[in-house]
Order: sequence, then C-alpha cells, then structure tokens
Amino acid sequence: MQTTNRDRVTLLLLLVLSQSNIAFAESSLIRNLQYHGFLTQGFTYTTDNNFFGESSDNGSFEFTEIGFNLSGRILDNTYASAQVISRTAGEFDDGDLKLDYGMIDFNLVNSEHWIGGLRLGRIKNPYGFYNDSRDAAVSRNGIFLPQSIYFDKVRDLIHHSDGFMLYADVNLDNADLYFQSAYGRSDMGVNVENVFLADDFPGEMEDDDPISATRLIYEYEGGLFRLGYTKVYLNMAYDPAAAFPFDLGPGGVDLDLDIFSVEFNQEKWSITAEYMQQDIAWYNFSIPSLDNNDHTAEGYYLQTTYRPSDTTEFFIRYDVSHLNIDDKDGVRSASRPPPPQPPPAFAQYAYDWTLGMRWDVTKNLMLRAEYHNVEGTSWLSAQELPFSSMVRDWEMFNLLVSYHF
Amino acid sequence: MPAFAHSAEKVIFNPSVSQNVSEKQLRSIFSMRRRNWENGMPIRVFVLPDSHPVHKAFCKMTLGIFPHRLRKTWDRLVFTGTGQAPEEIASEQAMLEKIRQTPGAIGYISADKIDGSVRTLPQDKDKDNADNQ
Repeated sequence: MQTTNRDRVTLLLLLVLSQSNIAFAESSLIRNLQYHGFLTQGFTYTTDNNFFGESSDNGSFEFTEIGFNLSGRILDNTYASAQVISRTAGEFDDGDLKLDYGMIDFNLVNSEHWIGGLRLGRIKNPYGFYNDSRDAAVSRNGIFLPQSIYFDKVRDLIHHSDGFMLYADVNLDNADLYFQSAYGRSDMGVNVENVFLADDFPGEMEDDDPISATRLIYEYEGGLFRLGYTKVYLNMAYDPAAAFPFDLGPGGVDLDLDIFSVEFNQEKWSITAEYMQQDIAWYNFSIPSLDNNDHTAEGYYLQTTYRPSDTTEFFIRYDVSHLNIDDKDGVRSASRPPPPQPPPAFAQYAYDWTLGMRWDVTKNLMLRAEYHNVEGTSWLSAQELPFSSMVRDWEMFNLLVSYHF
Repeated sequence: MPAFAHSAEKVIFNPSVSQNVSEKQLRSIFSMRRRNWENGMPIRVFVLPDSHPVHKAFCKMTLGIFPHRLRKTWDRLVFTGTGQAPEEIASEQAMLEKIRQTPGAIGYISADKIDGSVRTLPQDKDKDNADNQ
C-alpha cells in the first residue's frame, strides 16, 4: 500500500511538472516531444452488490486513474511513445504504477495511397472500438465501457500485448481502411483466475501466454459510417502449485473471440453497436466440471448519443451479457451439483439500461454522470462480493470528474 | 475540381512543402495518421481551437469530418501511443505566422487572410484567378 501511495505521488508530481512547462524541453534526440496525461476520479453507489469497491454501503471512491505519456520522433520515420498509469479500481486494481504501453513505431510505407509500418514493445490491443484507449476517461463512451464486451473484471486479459504490431492505413477515395494486428504475450493475474477457474487457486495462470488481436475498421466519409471487425486468439496455461490438496492438473484455457462493430455519426447524433462472441475451451484439467465446460459467451450493446451543444452529450445504452449462449437464463449452470457451490442463475447474465451525460466544462475538464438499472450480475466479480450475497435486480449511480491535457 | 477548393477556408503550407495533396491525403494528414511528406520531411500539423468557427467550417467543408469525430481521433491516438495531437494555435494571425516559420508545416485560415508568405494549393489559385476574371 505504501508503494502505491508513493507511485501515485510520483505520477501526480509528473503531471504538475509537465503543466509548468519546465520539465520537458525540446531535446535534439527526440524531436516534436509531446506529453499528455489525465487524472480521473469516479464515485460509485449501488443499491445492492459491489462494483469498484464497497459501493453498496455509502458509495465508493475506489476508482482513480492517473496517467502520463510522452511521445516523440527519433528519426524522420521512427517514433517512440510510452504511458505509465496508476489505476485504482475496487478489488481489481490497487493503484500500482504500471507501464500502460511503450513502443517504437517504424513507419515503413508512406505512399500516396497508404501508410504502413511496424510497432515493437508493449502495445494496447486493438479490440472493438474502445479497448486500446480504454484507460483515458475522455476516450470512453461512458464512465465505464459496456461491460458485456469490455469486462473490467478481466481487463488485464486482453489489455495489451508485449510483442509487435503491424499496421496499415489505406486511403480510398471516399473512405479509409485501418488494419492493425498485434501479436505478443498477454498479462494474466488473480482477476483472470477468479473468472476462469472460479477461484484464486495456488499456482497461477502463466503471464507469458500468447495473444493475437487483429482489427479492421472501414470508415466511410470521415466517419459518417464506421464498420469494424476484431479477431482475438488467446491461450492461457495454468501452472498448478505442487502442494495443493487437490491437483487441478496442468490445464489450459483457449479463447477465440470475434467482435463486430458499427457506428453512424451525424453532427448531433451518434449510434454505436457492438456484438462480441467468445468461444471458451478448457483442456487437461483433472476436474471434470472444469474440463467439460466448453461454451460460448456473448455480449452486445446499442448506444445512442445526442450532442445538443459542443460541450454536452446525453446517451442511452442497452447492454446485454450472456456468459453461455446455451444457458442464457443461467438455470442449467445454477443446478450443477456442488462442490463447488454453483453461482446463482442470475450471475450468468446481465441486462443493463444506462442513461448518461457528459459535460466538457473546459477543454481539459470533463464531468460525467450515469444511472444504471441492471438485472443480473455476470460482470460483477466474486472478489468484490461473494455470489451468495449478490442480488439479481440492482441499480447504480456514478459520477466522474476527469482532467486531461 | 474537388469540393474543398471552393471553401472559404484554405489550406496553407510552409514554402518548404513543394508537393500537392489530394482531398483524401488532407483527411489523413489532419487525422494525424500521415506523418511524413513524400520527400520524407516530417509533417507539422497546426489547428485552431475546436470552438473556432474557422476550424468548424474547415472540418466540415474541406475535410468532410465532424469536429467531434476529429477530436475523438486525436484523443485516441494520444492515449493509445499510436500518434500525436496537432499543435493548437489560438488565432488565424498566429496560424499564418506559425506556418510561415515552421518547415513542413500545414494549417488553414480564411482565404481573405492569406498573404504571399505561405503556399496554397494550385487548385485554390485557379479558383481565385477564375473569381478575379
């Protein structure tokens, strides 16, 4: 905890220094040096259940995001960028300082019709419209991204790759095509084990498991119409602990994930929808209930955003999550014989109606407020509240303030 | 002739930039995705504030992008590490000065504020000549 506080203070100092314009002079090694950052604080109150802290008591302030990045040009066609973040998010994230991304970008093709190149390092994965910019509040489409697709409880799983990315931007006559394909190692953690193995067992999901994420976005007339397709493959290997009373076996989990994204933009209106399907396969575990559990999860949302002025935005969103499309009401899963005690049926799905607003008070200061009316708890985590204490129908109120530059 | 040649806002270049650009290249330059001129020189993009009427008109008429979309694109690039934000200039006078001084620079101002210190697109010149005849 002390390290975390020190991390936060370091990062805050960096933000303050950067604002005073003395810390970063233009150097000859890195030209066109730019720095940006954000400081975000959220408040969550839930009528029941817990999300981002013990939100059902008096509300929770355990949602803080501090980030700082630098970017610049090393050679005429070579760029470098890095961002560090401290993220506090209930039981999911403790505020430790992390390298969010850090990469070198070789711009290899720069022709009249297309631009292409290679990025090396830690790269935020292209996943749907939002994963790669998910940690800056100003780039999200709400206080939280739609949880059916952008699960905060397993955020680390698909967050970034340590490896490389190929990219190409093709300029067509009335449209642009954006292709990105990342391949590397994914970052696992306790959160992932909790979700995929239903508990934090001794032993761990290896943190060097391969992930590949490829996204193609077609943008017509500067974004009047946007179409996206994402494909992600991920393999997680479980390394069992020797001394555990029962051996889970050296198993693994394979994820195969597709996302279809579509967006219409007008000056005052935007309509966004995304659909995700995720095939999950378990293998080589010694517990049959784990090994025979292959299934397909899905998530989708539809959001309509209205901008009455340049500085205000209202939206309505309907977000649906099914952890198993062959057991949408969760009844089959809930009737599994213990042990372990199966989660209640309503933990297999979530239907979330959201009303939200955004107000850009100044160019750098953004306020958001949201109301959620939810049936089901599929994107809540047992780390924050045991399944036995969860309630099916619940509501959530959120406030968020974000300073960014 | 492309639509952007008719707008009241004109693209201006530092005289060091000798190439011409198509409408689709302009879109990719102001979206901060294209980062080098054809001769390899880095592109320096200057913009007016989001709320500036000339910026709004330039986005819609010349680029064919809503200002809110362009802002989202820049925010995404900046916070994914895959690009940089354009440099923001407070006024058209300051913009003209900055474009004149900065090698590789591109920006835009109202047509009536342009002087001989910066380069414009040849289509724009043709249009101006046609208007004068």
